[in-house]
Order: sequence, then C-alpha cells, then structure tokens
Amino acid sequence: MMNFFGAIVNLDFLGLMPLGCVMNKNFHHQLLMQTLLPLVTGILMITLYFTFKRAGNVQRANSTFGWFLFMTFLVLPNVSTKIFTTLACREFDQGYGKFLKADYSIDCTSTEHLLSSIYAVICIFIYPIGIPAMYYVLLKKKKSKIDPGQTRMSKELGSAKAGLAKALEVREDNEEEDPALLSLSFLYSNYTPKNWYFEIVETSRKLMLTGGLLVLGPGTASQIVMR
Amino acid sequence: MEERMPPTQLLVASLIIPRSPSHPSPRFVHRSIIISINFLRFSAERKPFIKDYHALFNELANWQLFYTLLASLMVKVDMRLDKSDSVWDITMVSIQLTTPAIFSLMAAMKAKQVVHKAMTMRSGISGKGGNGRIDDDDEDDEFFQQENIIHSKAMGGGGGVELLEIRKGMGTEEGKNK
Repeated sequence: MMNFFGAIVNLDFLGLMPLGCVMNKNFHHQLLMQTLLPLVTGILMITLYFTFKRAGNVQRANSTFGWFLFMTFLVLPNVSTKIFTTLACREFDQGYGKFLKADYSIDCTSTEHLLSSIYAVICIFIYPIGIPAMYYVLLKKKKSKIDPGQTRMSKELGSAKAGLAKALEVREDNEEEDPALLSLSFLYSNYTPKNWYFEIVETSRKLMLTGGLLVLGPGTASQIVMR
Repeated sequence: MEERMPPTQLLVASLIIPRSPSHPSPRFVHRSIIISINFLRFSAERKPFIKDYHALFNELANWQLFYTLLASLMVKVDMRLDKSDSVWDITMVSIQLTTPAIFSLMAAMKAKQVVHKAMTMRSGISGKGGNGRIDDDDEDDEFFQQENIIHSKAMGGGGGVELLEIRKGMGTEEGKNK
C-alpha cells in the first residue's frame, strides 16, 4: 500500500506497472527502462518541436517544447536516484562478496554490472548534469529578455516593488515580441526577473536530497531512498 | 483563483517524500537536514518568488521536509521501535502531505466562494427581471481601467508605494470606488 502510494506521489509510474509478469525485472532492466523511456520520449518531442517549427506553426512548437521541459522536470529526481543507486554497492565481511544495495541478487564484480555502471555514468551526464545544464543554457541565452534589469529599475524608481513591477511589465512585452521565450516560461515565470536562474537552484536541491547523497555517502544510505 | 494556486513545480517539490522514513541512516539524514536548512536560508535571502503566497508555500514545504527528516533522526535514536515502523512511516508521510492538503483545501474553498458569488450575482440579475445571464462587461471595463492606471503609474515612475496601495485596494470595495 505504502509502495503504491509512494509510487503515485513520486511520479514513479514505471514502478506501478506489473512488468515482472512479462520480463525479468531485475535492477539493471529497471535502470534501462527508466532511463531509456524518457530519453526516447524526449527525442520524439524535440523532433516534433522542429517539425512544427519548420512548418511555421510557432505556437504548437513552443507548446511542445514547454511540455518537453515539464517532462524533464518530472522524471529528473526519480531517474537520477535510480542512476546513483546503480553505483552504490556493499561489501560483505570475510570475502563473501560485493553486492548491489538496491538488489542483493546482483554481484557488483560481474561483467553485467560493470557494463551497467558504465551506462549509469553516461546517464549521469545526460540526466543529473545534462538537464540542469540544459536549463542554464536555455535561460542564459534569453537572460536579457527574462531580466531586463530589475536591480537597475529599482534604483531608478527608488523602490524595489516598483522596480519589480516595471521589470515584469518589460518581460511581458518581451514575451509578446519573442514567442520562443514563452516556451521557457515554465522555468522562470514564478521567479522575479533578477532570480531568473532559481529553477536550477531548486533542481540542484532536489538532486542533492534525492540521488546525490547516495554517492556522497556510500554505505550510509542503505535503508532509505529519498525520492 | 489562479492567484491562489501554487505553481506545479512547488506542488511537486512539496510532495518529495522518503519512501521508508523510519529507516534512515543518521549520517544521511544529518546531511539532508543541513542541505534543507541551507536552502531555506538561501531562499529567505534571495526572495525569488513574485507572489508572497508562493514564497509562503515554498517555505512551508521546506520546513515540512526539515521536520520529517528531524523526526526520522529521532526515530532512529530509539531502536526499540521495530514493530511500530509502519506507523511511523504513515505518520511521517502524512506530515509530508499536510501542506499540499491545506493548500488544496484553501483553493477549493476559494473556488466555492467564486461559485457562490457567481450564483448570487445570477440570482440577483434574475430577480431584477433580467435574462438570467451574467453580464460582466462592466466589471471587466472597471478592471481594465484600474490596470491602465497601475501601468501608467508604473511607467511614469509614480512611486512604488502608491502603486502598491492601488494593487492592494483592487479587491476591496474601497479600492473599487477609487
């Protein structure tokens, strides 16, 4: 019951599927499924985005890109945890062996696990590093339009609130002029213009609380998996 | 209505839960607590949210995570609690769900108020011999007029305090009469 509930609130929909009935659902297969599915979906969405863009349907292209960003936001904590868990092994006393903490049926010295570990390291560059880096590049590219100078405006108007109001107004004008900016609104719309990068900070916090600690403290997180 | 709903990011972030909170490793929880506190401090200093309501929601979500982790640490201290693990799991997951539940309830209550207001307006119009439809053109005009005043003040550098006062007064009868 708790696992079912946990899977719902953690958006771990793969965990809900009875995949064990159709395939051998060991940890390595789960890792492959959880990392490849979002990747394939992401590639399809980006293809769709470029198709719409070439066809001149800017509104649909932007909407598709917005959904792509939303998907990356949803899958990132879960997938990252899975990736980091792949690297957490436990060595038993008296030369009994070294096994994966998340699945003791997996021998960490086996070739299969070595390949999975290499795959997990590649995935680290795609998910926990790649996605926040992508957010940063996208936001940095449009920084001048997202933050038209809130600090300067506050100084000019002599009030932080008036500066914020004016900066938001200019940002809205920029969104009207540049529809591509709107597709990124998911990443910045809740934050003040001068804090345009804050979604990356929040993403880092989540990653640190979920997967990062598994790697930072090997041997300490055997019984808890922060999702 | 939209004003009172926390953004999706915050709602999802507030639902981060430890799957088995009663089985933490103390060092892991210590580090999580330190991270939570540091980010709380950073958020408080930067004040990144446009709406105060979102800032409040974010702060509550962070504090509830902090207290859950703290409770996890306390449970870990008492190793005799083996049998009541599931009870603690449920308790702590419930704590985690408190903030989203409260905010959802508040949103539902707000929606109820809006529906009630619309129904009252409808019955008022019907009672006066109208056609039963709500004609909100006048209200829209009034809203746009007030928005124009705000924009012109902002662009003309009319002063932040005055601008804020106008925005604050918009929802009240006094503000509408201005």
